[in-house]
Amino acid sequence: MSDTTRRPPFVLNRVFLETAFERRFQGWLRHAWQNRSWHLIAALPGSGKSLGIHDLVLHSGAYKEATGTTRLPILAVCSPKNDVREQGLVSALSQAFGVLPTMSASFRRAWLVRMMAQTQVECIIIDDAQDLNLRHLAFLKELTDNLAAPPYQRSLGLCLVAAHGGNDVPFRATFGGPEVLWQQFHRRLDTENRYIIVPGHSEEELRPILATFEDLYRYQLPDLQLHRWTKPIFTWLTNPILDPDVTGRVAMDNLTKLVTIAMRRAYERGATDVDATILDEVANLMILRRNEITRTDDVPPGEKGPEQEAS
Amino acid sequence: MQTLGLQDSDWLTTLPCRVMPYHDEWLGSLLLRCDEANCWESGETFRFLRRSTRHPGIGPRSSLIVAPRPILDCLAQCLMISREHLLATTYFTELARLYPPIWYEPSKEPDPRNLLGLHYRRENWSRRRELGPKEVAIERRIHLCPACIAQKRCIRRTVVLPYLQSCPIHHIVLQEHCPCGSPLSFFSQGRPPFVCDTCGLHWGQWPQTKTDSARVALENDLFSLYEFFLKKGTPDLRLLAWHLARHRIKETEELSLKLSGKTIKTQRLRRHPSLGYLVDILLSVGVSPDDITTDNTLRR
Repeated sequence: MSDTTRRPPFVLNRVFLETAFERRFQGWLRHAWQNRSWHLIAALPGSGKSLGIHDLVLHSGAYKEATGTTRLPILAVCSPKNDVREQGLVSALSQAFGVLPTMSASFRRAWLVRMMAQTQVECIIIDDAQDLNLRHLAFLKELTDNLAAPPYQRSLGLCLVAAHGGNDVPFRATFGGPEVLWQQFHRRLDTENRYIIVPGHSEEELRPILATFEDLYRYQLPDLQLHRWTKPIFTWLTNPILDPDVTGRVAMDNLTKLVTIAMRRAYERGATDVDATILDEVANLMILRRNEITRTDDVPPGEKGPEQEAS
Repeated sequence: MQTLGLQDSDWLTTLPCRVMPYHDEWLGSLLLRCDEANCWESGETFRFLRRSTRHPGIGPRSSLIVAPRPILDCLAQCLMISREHLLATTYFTELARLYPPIWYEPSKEPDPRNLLGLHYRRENWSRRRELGPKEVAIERRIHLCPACIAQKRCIRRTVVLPYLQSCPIHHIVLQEHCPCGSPLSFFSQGRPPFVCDTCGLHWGQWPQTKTDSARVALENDLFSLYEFFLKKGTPDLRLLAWHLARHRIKETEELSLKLSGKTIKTQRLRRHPSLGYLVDILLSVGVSPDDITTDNTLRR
């Protein structure tokens, strides 16, 4: 038996990394939370928006005590995908509190306002906001207006977090429309920073991320020195196929894929570090062969068929 | 009790606001406090539990003196507390010890009629067309102590005990009706919890009438008998008390019961009385808990 077959399977580390992008992105979310301001925050798909939201919410100090006190400072939900009615958003927001009995639509709307006031919600974050429709947006305005009115008198921060393409952000044209509703919505958005695009990672920002990857995977690849490959990695990941808007920035999802696939291949070949050949192979796979169809009789790596197990 | 954070997977399977039972609180009261903490209508938690488990053994007029296990398990999950905490809001454990299940049905849950009496309406009878035992059965009296509600929003477990007419803590008369004349209803749809379903007056604002001293003395004796059986009672002790009562009334033909006000023929005493009936007889013939524990005549 060779060395490689004796090694245990490669283990992926899914820990949240506080990258430069996350610091920028979470910074804006915190700004909205602390100042109760409204923003539309856009970033490229795969930048790490959802992970950043999850991390912020987990550390927001939410709790449910057995004494009947519940606190949920940040109410973060994903935009409803299969319900175009405003009820879809009402359900998504309500269910973030926990298990609920069946309620009529009108009762649930009123209940949501009371519960948000009772649990001291301070900021609403809607992930995948590009999937919201105008009825959802109108409901968000109604909800925040109800909370701002007596007896609650609570002003809330609102972050619509959207994936964008090109140099524009979703809903900018809508909010700039002449209808009174959208004028009101536009007025509620932060005056200085209404629409924010949070860019991906620059070449300088890649280096500490690669150093962090080295620390995380060193117990599997003892001689790992990813930071040596910062420049070629940046060049590959800013290729127009992976960066169609030519932003010159790297999305975290692409970086993670490139690095982890390369590390797994190196590990499976018995190496203790990644080399230029492996990185080139993976970069080709992601850029040139990204739409390639795989026809194979093999089982996935790490899986064994029943015949192999029996033998 | 454990505080839940968003990282706990139980966040989404618990009620938005979790509530813990008070000491000696009745299950119905806990459910109403769940409604209040979660901004729901009165009885919403109760209806949610019934729908979630689809258990046939519990109805809208249930006494909640015992509650089926699936209902308790569902509530325990929703509040993230142990089933033992919830069992303490019912008389499940006490009745199971006093009236153990028959040997061929070891998993059978205790029957609330072991406490309330056989004439009380069963809780899971289905609707019938013709006049049947359900229609002639006696409705369980439901009442509450306005002072307990005003102080702690709490209905004690003891108020479900038969014949008790005053609060053992505050010594005020338990109320069955709102001052507007409307009877008390615990789970009224469309109303907030703890208010009259007709006029909306808060139960804590209902009249607090002091119990007269004679009744206080009687209720103290009654309560001490209940406490004795519910805390220490076993089938043997129950049987011993029964024989002691029979021993005391063997000379008389008729017995006037102090609590129910009925007159019964001593020859026709039921052999397996409910706790309410047994306590009525014991009190009427002057048997106290001390008499039961110290009496050696029958033990011999």
